[in-house]
Amino acid sequence: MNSVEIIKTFAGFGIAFVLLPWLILPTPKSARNTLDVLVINFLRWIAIVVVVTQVLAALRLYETTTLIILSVIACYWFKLRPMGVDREWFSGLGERISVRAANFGDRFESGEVQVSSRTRASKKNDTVDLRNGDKPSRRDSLPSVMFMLILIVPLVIVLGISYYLRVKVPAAHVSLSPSDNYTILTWTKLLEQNQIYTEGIYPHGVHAILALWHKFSLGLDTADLIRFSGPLMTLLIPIGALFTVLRLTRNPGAAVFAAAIFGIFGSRAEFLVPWARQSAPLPQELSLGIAMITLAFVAMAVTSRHKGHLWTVGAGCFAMAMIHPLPLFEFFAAGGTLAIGTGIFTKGGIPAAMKTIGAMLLGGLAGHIYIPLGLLFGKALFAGIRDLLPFVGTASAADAAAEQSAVQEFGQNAISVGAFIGALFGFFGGFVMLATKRRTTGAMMIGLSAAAVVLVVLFDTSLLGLPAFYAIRIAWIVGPALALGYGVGLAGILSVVPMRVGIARAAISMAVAVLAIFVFGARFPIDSNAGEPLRVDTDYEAISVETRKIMRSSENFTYTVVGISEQRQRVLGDGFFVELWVFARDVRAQDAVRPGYELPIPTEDVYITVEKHPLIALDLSEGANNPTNEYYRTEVKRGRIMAITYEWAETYRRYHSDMTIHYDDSNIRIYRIHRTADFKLADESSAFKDYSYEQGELFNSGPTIEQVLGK
Amino acid sequence: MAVRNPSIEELTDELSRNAGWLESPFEAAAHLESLGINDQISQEHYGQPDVFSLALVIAQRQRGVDTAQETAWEEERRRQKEELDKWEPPGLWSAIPRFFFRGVAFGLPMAIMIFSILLLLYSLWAYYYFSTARATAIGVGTALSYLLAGGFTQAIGRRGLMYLRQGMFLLCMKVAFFFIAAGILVTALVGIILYFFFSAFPVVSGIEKDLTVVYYFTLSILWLSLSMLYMLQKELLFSIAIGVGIGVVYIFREWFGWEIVPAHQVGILSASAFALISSIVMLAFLHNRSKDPRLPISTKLPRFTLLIASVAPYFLFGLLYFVLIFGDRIIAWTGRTDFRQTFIWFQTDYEVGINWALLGLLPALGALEYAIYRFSGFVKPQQLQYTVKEAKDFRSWFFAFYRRSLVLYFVMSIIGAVGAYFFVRWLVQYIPEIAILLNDVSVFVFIFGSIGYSLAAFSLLNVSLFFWLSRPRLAILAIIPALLVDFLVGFILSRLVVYYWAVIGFALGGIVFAVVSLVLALRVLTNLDYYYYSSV
Repeated sequence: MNSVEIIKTFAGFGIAFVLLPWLILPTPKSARNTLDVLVINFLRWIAIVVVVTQVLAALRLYETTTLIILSVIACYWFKLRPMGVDREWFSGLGERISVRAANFGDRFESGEVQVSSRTRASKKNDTVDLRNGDKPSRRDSLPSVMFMLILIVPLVIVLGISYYLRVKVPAAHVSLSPSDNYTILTWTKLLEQNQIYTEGIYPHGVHAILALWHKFSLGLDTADLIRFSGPLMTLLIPIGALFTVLRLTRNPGAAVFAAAIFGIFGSRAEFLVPWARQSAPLPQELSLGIAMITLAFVAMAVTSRHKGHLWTVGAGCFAMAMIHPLPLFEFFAAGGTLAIGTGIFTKGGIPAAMKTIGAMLLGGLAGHIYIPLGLLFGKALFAGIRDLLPFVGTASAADAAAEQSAVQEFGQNAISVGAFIGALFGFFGGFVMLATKRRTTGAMMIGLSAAAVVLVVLFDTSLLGLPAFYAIRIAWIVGPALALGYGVGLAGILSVVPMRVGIARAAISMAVAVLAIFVFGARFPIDSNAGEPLRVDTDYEAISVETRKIMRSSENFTYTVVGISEQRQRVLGDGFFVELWVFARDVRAQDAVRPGYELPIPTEDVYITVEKHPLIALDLSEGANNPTNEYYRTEVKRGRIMAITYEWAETYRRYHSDMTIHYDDSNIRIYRIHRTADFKLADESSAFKDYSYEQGELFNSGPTIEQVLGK
Repeated sequence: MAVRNPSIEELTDELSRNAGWLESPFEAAAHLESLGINDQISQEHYGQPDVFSLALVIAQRQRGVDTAQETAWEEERRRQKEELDKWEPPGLWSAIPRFFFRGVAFGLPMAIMIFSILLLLYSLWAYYYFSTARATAIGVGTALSYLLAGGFTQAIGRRGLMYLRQGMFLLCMKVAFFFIAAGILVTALVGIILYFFFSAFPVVSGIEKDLTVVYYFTLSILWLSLSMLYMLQKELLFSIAIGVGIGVVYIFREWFGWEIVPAHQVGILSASAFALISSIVMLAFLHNRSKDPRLPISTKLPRFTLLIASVAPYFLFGLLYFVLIFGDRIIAWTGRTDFRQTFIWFQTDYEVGINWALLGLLPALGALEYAIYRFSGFVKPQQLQYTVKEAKDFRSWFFAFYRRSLVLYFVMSIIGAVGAYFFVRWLVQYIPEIAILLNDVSVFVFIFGSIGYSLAAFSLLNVSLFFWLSRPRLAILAIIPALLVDFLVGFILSRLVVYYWAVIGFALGGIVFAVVSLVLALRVLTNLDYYYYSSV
């Protein structure tokens, strides 16, 4: 089953982020090769997607039909029109089709007649090489295939392993972790239903990307997309390292090595990044991946001074701001250093560097436009943003204390030192390049090395004197970027290998890279348990599995799930939902004993979930000020809700034949009521409709489920 | 005794009697040769070097001699009278009821369906107690069947009518069956694609998606079969076929206790069979009755590629027209609403309103039918009455006719819409099923739907002119902007405001269709003589 979902995830990504931009966006003039085209258009496309999705959602126009119409218009405007497809072309289309059909059909009829049509003068000046007997030599074709194999095979292996390490935990669990994933799930679904900033202003970039991705995932459930998109999204970080090192050092081996450092070994504690974050589609990680890719264009903008690169840098910064602004600060620091470092050793490079930094700042600033716009339309800031802004407020005291103790462990470590040494080798290599008249590459290598040094400095967040809240988050985004130091370092070492050796150089480079990976791995082996202990399950795996089964086996909105918040987020947009605390508040035992009583819920099927052992992932009993925290994140109240529901269900089951046990194990039980619903009764009843909340009002007494079951 | 060659005077008289006014010496030469006069005779007996010189002398004589002129014009007047008698259109008072009835007969099948559902609670493909999910699936299938069959109907009408008017009844049957077979093949292919599409993309209920394909397929066969009756202009039989189908549904449901869906399929296929059989019988009867020895008994169809190429623009128009007629419903069914179980979700009140608007169109259809047939009926006699120099008068006459038809049409459409509005409101008190379905949304949709339908139907008057003059491109030019406006406005309004505002898009699309087709029609009427000449 997972393989089908993974295939759909990849297919959706391919259609939404590779095929569509290829069809719609014009070929960037700043691209030097196909890889550049793909990457540039990917970055620009991400920026377009995050804006257009939110604008359409605000206008209530976000749906597949709108996207198709806009795509067709954009494809015509940017791709077809420059190729000469205009009104005249369309008016002659019918004739051309008829002529071709007639010529085709005439082959099957006697008296073959070839019909010709008016043809337009070709705009291309085609020339034909008429030299006779000039076949390409075997020696010319064979090396290029070998060359591609040398380049691609190690790359595919490194990325494949990186992906596997990220996907293996989500593949083994239907329930989502961390809990942020449920929020991402909800906001993505709401965005698809044209509801934006429902819980406050917060960058919706990742949700916009997931919404588009979901449209083309061949019917994949959004929750499953969340599971399997995370590993693919976070793969952008090693891919970014690979691309940046490749383009700036022109050393494929060094690029593969850079990708492997965090791609394969990122679970090491030395990187200071919780590995569980690498399996989730979290905004910060996606923004970091985009930052890693965009770095390459910072240097290229300085050396080539092509305006297109400035646009790409601006688009990248815009996308980062729209997705998560934190990596922007790292990007400004590293990217600014890269730009200036490259500019010093490039003729006319300093003004170009200033322009590039200007593009970065402008793009980053423009990407925050959603905040004033949201405030203008009466929305409040989401708690996550309020916590991020130092002048507004900080996280809870418990969080602050936990973070403070974690930060004590921070500082330089073996991996960061290794990155620093790599940067030194990078400087060496850069100067070798300059001395051997490879000025552009040399300048970029020096710039990259300088950026790597800055990253190493930032890695020790204690130097920055920031509160723990920020120090932790900066460490999360700087750690993965240390791979750049390793990449430029290996490139620096290999700079002594002469360029004219050709394909052998690439082979040597790859061989050294593979060796380096093994050496690194021997020193810093993969932490194979990095994912599991850090999973924070907010619901039982069985609840997620069974809820998904219910959704798959039922028609949309023909069923109601009575359960916890995670089930609501899963069921949103597919079926009806009643919060368990509302259910427990409104049901009465005296109703359950009446054989004629009908539950006033207007669907044919009702599924009621009960936990026999309440699962408390986070205890937020202190100062809880919303129903989720007070009723579901406190053990006692959650237990009482389960107890009330269990007793009611068991009583109902004794007196009614329409209830069965749909699922039962040691931790949970799911009841199913299946009957012809009385819509009028449900409509007239006030039960299960009042979601107003008063702190401390409910479930203050009574036995918990464990006490009830223990009787 | 030797045969005496006629004198030049006698020759001139004979040609004047036989051929009337000689347009040029070359016409005279042709007639002389048909009388057996050659160059030798011209030299020996008439002292002219050849037939052409003799013809020139005769033509000049006809123009110069009063008696010859008189004889020639007498022949011309006789011929003109003969043609006029042959092409004389029916009198006004016999034409009005006949064509009005035909126009109303177009709407009769729909009226039968509506009354059937009110009385029996089901019709040929509808059922009062279908769940919304099922109604959605069947509604989508029905709309799709119209789209595809619409193109083939136009193709059958175009090509079949051409052979019918020439009295080539067997060929008419052949070409009709060719297009029906092609239509069924294309329908089947599209049906397979639809099945997989609905399986992959749950735009309708997963349980009911099979019904979408089933109804799409069987209804497509029905429209293809009925198109033969449409081509034969047997509107009454059209209604009878629908009635037969409903009757079969009744029998299988009430007598044999079948479920409604299989009963529907049997009824639909029965109606199709009735239409096909009655068309075959009629064409065979006409063929056997025809005694014209000049017409071939049977002949091969034109080459496939030529056949397709000749009807392609008409097919395209048919497809686009039904997209215009049904597009607003699909947009409304996907529009903003409080609850939607699937992406496409049937909206009963919208359907009630739009079908209500269709009811109001019946009188206007009568006026439309009258205008179309009178127009085509008058062209030949008017052409005979005016010379080339009087082309302006010829055009003016048709302008005046067009204006009168326009006024008549719009008067009838207003009467129809107002009448339908009050009629249904009056009916509500007697039929509770209508009362349940009727609400403010239905009234809103009725108002804008009436505007859209009446203007779209008016545009058909102009489109008929274009088709009649073999200018299908003009029809396509008129409908494309209408479609764009319909979709753009309807889509945006149905999303920004509420689903039933999609009908505003339809109304605006109808306005655009009417305006553009009117402009093009006026352009054609301004040069009607040229267009008529080039279409022959």
